[in-house]
Amino acid sequence: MQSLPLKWRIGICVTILMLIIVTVISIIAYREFQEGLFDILDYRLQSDMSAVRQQLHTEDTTEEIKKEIRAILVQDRHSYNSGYRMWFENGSTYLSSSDISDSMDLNIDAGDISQPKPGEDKTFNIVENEKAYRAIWARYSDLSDNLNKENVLNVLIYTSSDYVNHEIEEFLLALVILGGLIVWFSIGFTTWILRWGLKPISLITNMMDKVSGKHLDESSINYPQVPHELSPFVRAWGQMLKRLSHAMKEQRRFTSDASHELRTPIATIKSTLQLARSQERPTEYYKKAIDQSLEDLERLNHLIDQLLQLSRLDSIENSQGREIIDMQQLTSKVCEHYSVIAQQQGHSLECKFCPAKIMGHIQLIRQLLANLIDNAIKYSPDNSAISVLMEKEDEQLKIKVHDEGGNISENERHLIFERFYRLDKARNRSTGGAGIGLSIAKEIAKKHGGDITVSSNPKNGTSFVVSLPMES
Amino acid sequence: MRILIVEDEVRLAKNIAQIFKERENFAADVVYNGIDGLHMIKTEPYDLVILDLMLPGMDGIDILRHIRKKSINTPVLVLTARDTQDDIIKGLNTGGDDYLTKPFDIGELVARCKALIRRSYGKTCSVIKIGNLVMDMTAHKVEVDSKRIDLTAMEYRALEYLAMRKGQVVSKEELLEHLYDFNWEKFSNVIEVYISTLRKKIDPDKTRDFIKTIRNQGYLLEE
Repeated sequence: MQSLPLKWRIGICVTILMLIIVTVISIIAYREFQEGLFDILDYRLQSDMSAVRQQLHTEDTTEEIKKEIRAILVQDRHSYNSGYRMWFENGSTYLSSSDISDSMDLNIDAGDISQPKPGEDKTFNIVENEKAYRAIWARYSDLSDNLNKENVLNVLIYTSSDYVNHEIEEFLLALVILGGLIVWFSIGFTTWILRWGLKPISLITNMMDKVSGKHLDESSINYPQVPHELSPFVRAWGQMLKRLSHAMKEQRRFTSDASHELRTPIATIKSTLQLARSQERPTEYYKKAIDQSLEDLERLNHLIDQLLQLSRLDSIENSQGREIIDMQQLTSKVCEHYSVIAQQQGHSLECKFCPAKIMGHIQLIRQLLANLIDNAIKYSPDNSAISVLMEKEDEQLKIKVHDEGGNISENERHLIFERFYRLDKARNRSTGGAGIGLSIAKEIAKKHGGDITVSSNPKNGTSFVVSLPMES
Repeated sequence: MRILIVEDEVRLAKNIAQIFKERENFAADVVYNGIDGLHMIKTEPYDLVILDLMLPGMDGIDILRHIRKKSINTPVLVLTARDTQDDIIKGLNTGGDDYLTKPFDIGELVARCKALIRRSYGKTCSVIKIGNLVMDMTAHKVEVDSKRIDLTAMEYRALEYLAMRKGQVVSKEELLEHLYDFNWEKFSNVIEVYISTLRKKIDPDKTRDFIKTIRNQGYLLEE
């Protein structure tokens, strides 16, 4: 499954965070605003109440008090959605705004409101006929003599809170719109920032898109200017390309060499046969053509065997099919076989053994020794000596194959193990192989945890030293 | 016609040389490495070079670059095992005139080589007519007044070269160089013998002077 794009991941995180912040701020602002508006309302109600209370304690007559109170309460009452009521605890109404106007009378009994303690007041919200009111309710017991001294007077002053509620609603709407805008902007901004931030990556992607197997060279790639954080990535990528390029070049060289080595004998066979077929020829000619073609086929077959062996070596598991090999026995057998061949070609093969055991594939180790000795015989000058020397050195078995031939220059020493690399390109193909023998030998040595090194100078000749880890 | 084969696979090189000698009656030289190849191209007047690319001593591409830089315009057919598009493009761009990959068909190789030689002498057709003399270089036959004339190998070679150079004066030395390969001892009076027998065969009545002798310069084949 494709994972969520980075843009969306970060976008969603930022949006959720912004949403939480905006919501918290909105709730706080809403509460504060509501509280502030009710505080103003309460302040007015309380100041009315204290004015009424002052009047209640004067020595004036009831009628005068009533008149005063009415005057106080009427002067701020612009709206008929407000009013007042005063009644004694025994139930008799003392004063009510409905007496003189058609303003409604608030029924507080309906709204389960606990009565305040005598001498104290309380403010509360109440809904009457689907209209909201803010009210203050006080109970006074220390009344003047002119009023009923023994009784407790309830005073209720109320005013409509519709306006306040309307303001609060508007404020809430404003908050929601503002919050929405902030969230929306934050999403947009985040997207933009991400796009801007990820731009170097898309530049690199464009550059990567242009890279193909044919254009892996350092020179053909324009590295874009990238931020500091991305430069290790680009650098690592460039190095990867370099390694790939090298591998590709090697691969191309191998394919090119392999096709050359495989096609040349085929071309020779084909031309030989076509030529023989092109006109009437003596029997001897045909015989010669057939013999030569068979020889070429043999060479081709040998080459194919070697190539297959190389590719099989790549797939052999290190631990599979290993056994303890008596190297003294194996080396002496191989030497015995090759001393005959060496003698036929006018060389002498001298061998020195020592008892040693290694862990490995016996067929491969035999091949390794055979390739090295065969190589030594091929490159020896006429009538020269070849020696094979076994010795132990720090848990390692060293087998030195020495011949008196050739001088491999310093530069070429690592190249001779390359597949198809041939030192003397002018040498006769009929004696030499295609240049795979040494690379097979090296591969085998590496498979067994060892290596092959070469030393060469015109005076002493050439030595290949195989080192293999010994089995105790 | 005289060609050079630069190929390190000895047997293949010899086979190619034999093909041209037997089928086309060409003189063919063979060298097995790049250095000798370059030297031969520079010193001998070949009508065509068949060049391998992977050569000991000097790479085929280097040889091509070198000779084209020296303005040697001998047609070159690149004959190699490398068959990638890049190799072909590189071979042709460096100065190769044609490209053939191994393994090849000898018929195709010969046909391509002959086409290259014809084109280098400005001929597009393999049949050349000089008055009533018709020379078919594919069938290797010469007819005068629709009658077939039997020529020896060397007579045919001489006539073929003169036909290619139709209308131009060819010196004895030049003719000699294009008829014999490197291993022959060259005597210019041999040419005079061939030309005289050739004249007798193509013009027995001595009425039409196909091959004119230009004093101190050479021979001229024209209508």
